[in-house]
Amino acid sequence: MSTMKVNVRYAGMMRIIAGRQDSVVELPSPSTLRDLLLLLAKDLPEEFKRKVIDPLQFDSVFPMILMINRENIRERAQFERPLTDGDLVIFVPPMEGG
Amino acid sequence: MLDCYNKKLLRVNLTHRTFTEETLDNEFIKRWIGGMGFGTRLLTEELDPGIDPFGPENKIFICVGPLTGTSAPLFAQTCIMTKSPLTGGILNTYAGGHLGSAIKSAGYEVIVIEGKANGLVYLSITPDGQKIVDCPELKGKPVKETETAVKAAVGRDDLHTMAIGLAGENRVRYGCVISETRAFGRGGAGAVFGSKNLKAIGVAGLGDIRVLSNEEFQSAVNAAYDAIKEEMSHPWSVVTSFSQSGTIDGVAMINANDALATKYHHMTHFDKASNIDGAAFMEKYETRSIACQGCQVHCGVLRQPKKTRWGEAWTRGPEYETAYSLGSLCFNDDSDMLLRANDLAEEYGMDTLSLGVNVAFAMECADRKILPRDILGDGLTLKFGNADATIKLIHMIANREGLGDTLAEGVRLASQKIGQGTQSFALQVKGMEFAAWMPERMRGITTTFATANRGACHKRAPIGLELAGILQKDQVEGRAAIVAEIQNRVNALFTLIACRFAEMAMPTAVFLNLLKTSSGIEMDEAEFVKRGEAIWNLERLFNMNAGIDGSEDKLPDICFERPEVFPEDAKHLTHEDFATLMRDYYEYRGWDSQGRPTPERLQELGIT
Repeated sequence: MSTMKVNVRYAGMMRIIAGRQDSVVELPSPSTLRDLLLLLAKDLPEEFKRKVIDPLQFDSVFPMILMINRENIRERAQFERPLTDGDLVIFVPPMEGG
Repeated sequence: MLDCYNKKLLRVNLTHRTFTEETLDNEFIKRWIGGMGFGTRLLTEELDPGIDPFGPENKIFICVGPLTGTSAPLFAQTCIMTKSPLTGGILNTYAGGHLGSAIKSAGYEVIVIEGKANGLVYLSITPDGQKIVDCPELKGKPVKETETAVKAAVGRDDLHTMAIGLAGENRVRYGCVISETRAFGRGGAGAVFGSKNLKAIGVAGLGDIRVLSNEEFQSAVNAAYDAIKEEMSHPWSVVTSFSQSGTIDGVAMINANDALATKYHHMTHFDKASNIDGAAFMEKYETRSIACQGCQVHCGVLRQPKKTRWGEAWTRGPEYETAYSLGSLCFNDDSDMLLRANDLAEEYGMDTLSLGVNVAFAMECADRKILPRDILGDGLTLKFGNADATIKLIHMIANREGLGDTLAEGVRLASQKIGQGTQSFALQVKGMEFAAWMPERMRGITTTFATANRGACHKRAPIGLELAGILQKDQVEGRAAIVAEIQNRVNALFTLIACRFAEMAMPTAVFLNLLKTSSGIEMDEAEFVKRGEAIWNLERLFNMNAGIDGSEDKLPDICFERPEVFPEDAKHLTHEDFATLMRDYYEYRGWDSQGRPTPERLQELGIT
């Protein structure tokens, strides 16, 4: 079975909740963003699952806390998006200004 | 009707040492609502646009709003308006905390400061009376020490204060006014205080704050609380995020978007941003949250005293804006330095945004071999990333020593003095230094920076929409209209002096219901936003008469150069795109092609 590697980054307060910084996650190829989230959920702290992963999966998608290659994930359908080897997935704290 | 208003204006003349109370007319109140509305109308009626901002003829308008001091949440801010010494145009600047409710319970909607004292004074407004007190002993004193001294001298525990530090006294053009832990940051109001020899103001009041209908107002307040509670129940909401680590965690989000101005806009990404984001500060420093009056968000983060190699720091923040201006923009990831720099800025009383841009400007000049590397003395090297150089420059600017004296004028005047093409990369619009965003990267910021009445200000921009990807960052079509709408809407909300976070949680209808049940002033959303538009146009007219016309709606040349580090698939700003944005903006506003409000539009807005 072929695999791919995806870079996962926890930016700002996300890394405190996740208890980690950057990591490289190996996944079977093909895999989707949803597959990645489910895999991450297996060993992330309960607080991260409750505050970040669970809302992403089951609640309305908030457009600021998950990005792939600098693109915001804004719709639930994007969880079925296939990942590509070398993708950068970032969990980011939300921001507003102005 | 108008129950929540005291309807009183207190006019203080420092030259003649007099106090005069005036009654605000009902029609004036209903038309301009409060806060920025009152301030803009009064300032544009009373000030000749051509005056010297540092002359005794300039005035300071300190305004509160209809909801200040009531139980409505997130209305703790106070508004200062004056003619800015940094831009030469009209300035509105805000700070939260507890001062606003003190002014309101002292019985005033507006305090106007006129003239110039013949020596350093502070102003005391309490139920015991109003006094102008000579205070030569406070000359050069830091803000915290000044506020403590004034509180002790007045002898009231309920006194709330605002004060300036050495920078304001020395007329550093971006000297600010600090109120306890909050800053009236932008535009140099502190320098205007300094030009009047006004070191501090202390206010205490015991008056009741009334509303039209207790029962209906309470119901409106409950709805406001419900909206905030609902917003904060989402762990990923912006407001919740701010309540956890302050605004500084925005550094992480902006950097993830490749939109963090780094090394003087040569880069859009800072590899070391994780050393100066919210998580870094929460991990490294003992922190506790503090809140403005009646606020559930408590975005203030007070760092407990910490020894740094530049001295002990005890400071609120830094905010994300400071982490940009004194951090990424200076290519510096030293969090201890940021903490100490923030503390120094509070003690000297300087806007950290303008301050950081001036420091970074000096570093850029050194990189371009326009300024010598050893200009700071003490064996220090003026270069990006040098934390010691930053700290030294902060002292030099506040004290107006050497290069600091030039930079105390702001980058516009500094670049004119230094010459050698530096004006092309001085990060300013209308004299005000850039806030923490990149017009090269986000077209909403492009438009906002270029058109804002107070200069390169970020306060009325579609930042969240662009960061969230709801609006494409580099798209030009339709962007100018969105910016103009936000400018109008925020100006309207600033008549109530709502905290900017309030609109992230509460729909406009909630604001209008609070206004209606407290004052009896009733209007729909369209009319409310139109009031904001009228204020925007009044500001524009004042600026035009001060010589700041459409030719000043521009960005420095550096913004049209593709940064060295820039997302490959993003479009950098071109002159063609900029021209389109300005043309669209003027058209949407009903202005002519030179950016002048037309008589027809002014008439529609009720401005004669």
